[in-house]
Amino acid sequence: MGGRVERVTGRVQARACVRAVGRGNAWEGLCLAAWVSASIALVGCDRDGRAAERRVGATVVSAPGSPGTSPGASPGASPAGGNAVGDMDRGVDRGAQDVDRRVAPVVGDGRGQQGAAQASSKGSTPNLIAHPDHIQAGLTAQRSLAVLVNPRERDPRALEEGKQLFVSYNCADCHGGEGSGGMGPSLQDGRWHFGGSAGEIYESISEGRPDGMPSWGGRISDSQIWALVTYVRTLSAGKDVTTQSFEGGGTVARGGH
Amino acid sequence: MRSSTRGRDWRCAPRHHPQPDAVGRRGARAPWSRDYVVTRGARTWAAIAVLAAAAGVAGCSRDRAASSAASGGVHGARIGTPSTGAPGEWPMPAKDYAGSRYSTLDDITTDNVNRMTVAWTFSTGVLRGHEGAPLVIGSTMYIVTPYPNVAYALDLSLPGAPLRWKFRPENAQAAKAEACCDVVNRGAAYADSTVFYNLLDGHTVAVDVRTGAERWRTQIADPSHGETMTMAPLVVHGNVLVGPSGGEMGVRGWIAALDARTGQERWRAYNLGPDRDVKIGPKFTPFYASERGTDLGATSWPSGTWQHGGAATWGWLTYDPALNLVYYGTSNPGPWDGELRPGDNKYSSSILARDPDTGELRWALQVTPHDVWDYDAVNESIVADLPIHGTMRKVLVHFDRNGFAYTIDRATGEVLVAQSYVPMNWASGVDLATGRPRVNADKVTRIGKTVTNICPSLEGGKNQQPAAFSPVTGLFYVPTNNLCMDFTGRTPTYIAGTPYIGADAPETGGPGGYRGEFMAWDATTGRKVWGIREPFPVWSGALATAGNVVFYGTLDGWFKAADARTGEPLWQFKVSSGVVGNPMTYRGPDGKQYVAVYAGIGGDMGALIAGDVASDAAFDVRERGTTLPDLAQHTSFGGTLFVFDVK
Repeated sequence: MGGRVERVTGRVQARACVRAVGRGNAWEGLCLAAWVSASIALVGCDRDGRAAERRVGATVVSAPGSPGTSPGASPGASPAGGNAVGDMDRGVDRGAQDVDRRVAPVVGDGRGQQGAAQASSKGSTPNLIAHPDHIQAGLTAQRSLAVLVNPRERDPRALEEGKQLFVSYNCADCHGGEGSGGMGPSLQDGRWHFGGSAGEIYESISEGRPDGMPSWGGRISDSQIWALVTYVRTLSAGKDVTTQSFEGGGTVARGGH
Repeated sequence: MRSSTRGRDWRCAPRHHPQPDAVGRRGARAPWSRDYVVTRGARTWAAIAVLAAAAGVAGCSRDRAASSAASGGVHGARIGTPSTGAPGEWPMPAKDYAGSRYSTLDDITTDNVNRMTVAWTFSTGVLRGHEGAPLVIGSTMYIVTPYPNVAYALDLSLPGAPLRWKFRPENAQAAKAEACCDVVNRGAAYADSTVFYNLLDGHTVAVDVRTGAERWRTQIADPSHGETMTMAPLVVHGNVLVGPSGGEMGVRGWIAALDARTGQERWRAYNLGPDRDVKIGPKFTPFYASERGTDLGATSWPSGTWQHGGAATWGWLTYDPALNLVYYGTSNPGPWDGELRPGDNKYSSSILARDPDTGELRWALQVTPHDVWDYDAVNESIVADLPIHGTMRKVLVHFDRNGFAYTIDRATGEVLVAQSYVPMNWASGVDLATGRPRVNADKVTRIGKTVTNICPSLEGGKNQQPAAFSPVTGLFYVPTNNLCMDFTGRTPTYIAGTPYIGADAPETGGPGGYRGEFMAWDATTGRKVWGIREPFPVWSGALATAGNVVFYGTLDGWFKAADARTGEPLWQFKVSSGVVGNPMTYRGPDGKQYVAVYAGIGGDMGALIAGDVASDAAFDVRERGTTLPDLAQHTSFGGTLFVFDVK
């Protein structure tokens, strides 16, 4: 499945880049920069074998003939081809439709930096690599993990298990009781540094985050991570703290508490 | 030291009919004025009301019962160490080795402080809690910010105090997640043309004050095991004394001495473990029998649990040159829940006296044996000489988290006076024969049980916000909290680098309808002389001056001056953010007296359970917990130095 996704996405992004290149030479430089960025990312993500494997498989999209990758190969044959078995274990459901939906705005708004890929000059090998994660400064990562489906979303035991794990793995001591905020961010307010979809929360727990969220992948089971995802996502359900009104005096009623 | 919990709504209980006309015009009415009212009835108060109209002044109610005892000073009291530096300088975090936070400058007086205005300001460029105070040596001011721990040197001899240099060291970002209670820094120490301070990620750095160049940096604490560095060092005999934070992270606390010239570690003494590690030898002569015994730092714990037993060294250090003893307190034991660690858990929640040259422990006083309430003992121990029962005694005065104010013989560790200084109920008193509190059994916390209404809360009667001492009045000026908590113990899990706590402890306002009080304290008798009640815990330090003006700031962003003798509020100014820093004063190169304080809400109370901004990312405006849910109406993050003078 992973290989097919890459081929589809690669085509979409190749079109994006070709269109961009068609608008002027400046885009070519940008696409080149993106290619360099993607190459660096391939190395940089290699914190541990598992992370590198998943990141490469999940996020680096390449077209046939790209240097350093063999996207046309079967998933198990190449480091860049993803690990379909592992992904399945993690509940990955990467339909091509989902991926295309994710990429479509990149094409539609013509902002080449969001969907940049490198295209060689006409006539030579069409080397096309996109790595949207690393060229969206300031935005949350648009990883394909964002479309992961939580396999325990409807598991009635997952909520209770996640609630218990939230305490026993010391999540509560950082994020506060019931995720009310503490050393770590509140999980009740519906605002997310790194995305609030099941897959994004999965990744935050599994991989950790730069301001100090530990990486739990490999320390606890995927099933437990998904249980935590199930629980965490309930904490902010229905909460909206966009506006805080201080009129009227007294204690301020605030969503999330 | 922190709350990991949700809290509950709290509301300032109405006390009087509001008098908004007295305290506000043009919308400048004090936000809590519907709940709190300036107590008038004296001419001075009428004058304050007039001032209020111009400056937006408002104050919380004075404790009138106590204030009737105004001017109840202590004659003959004196700071217990020789003064250091020029009178107009502020060369140490607490001004002097005694920790007095007292300045002999007296240009600013009770008569003219109402004309005090902002002279200049400086943005530190950093959000989060700005604890600590600047140093002033010669014509230069030195500032250290919260993480990323930037140091600035400001040239006071030029208009607007431009920078002489800026020092931004490498500082690992991952350490931010190991800091229980905001990424604060409590300031720098100075010696031999060098400033020394700690980085959150466990380094101590030495910076040449003339050039801003790094002289050395030493990795002394290990963030991967929950150790961070937030405390202000103290330099004694060429040793830079430092210790880690991490009482909530399962660390094993210690204090270390670094060679001021090279940064090399000269000694390290643990606060937990066998005598050899704790540096207990023949010279260890604690006053009370319960502090004596072989390897108590290990045997007063179930096997091996001391290795994650907390007792961090994150608070203030003081020093008596005559006795050659350095004093500090240790943090709570870990985890908070006590059922996994039956025993006294020495030497957590203790006051320790060490030889600064060797690290040897000379005496210990565990003020909260087997602490199950998160009552760290890290608060400052101020070195003073006081007349007690007609005799001058060399003492430490220590306002503990546990709600007792201790007056202690600083040569021996004997408790001379111990009285509660805030509403409290976990203990009924301190037995002077043993030095131990008389614990109320129904306030002992347990796993799986919720013990309600424990006072003070885990924030303590006072937290890190340091008190000041004026030898003129003989009184101590104490910023305090009035909070209580419901404590539910739960079985903790030790996972390196994550919290090791085992409790939920939501906090509420204490009895009386106020959550903080700035008070004057007579440490010879153990009684409050006056108090100014505040709607929020008073989380700034105190400053005392020879002009008989004392200063403090509030979480809701007011910087205030009061009469040291009577507690009469004299002046206030709304700064840019809540105040958790410590006011200081200095004489500028132009000969004028200035008063400086950081604005910048944060710290345990300001950032973690009260603030409205969760991270230092500009886009992140998420809200926080609930102990002080009304605080966000009054302030938000942002570090700024304010410098005031009287025109």
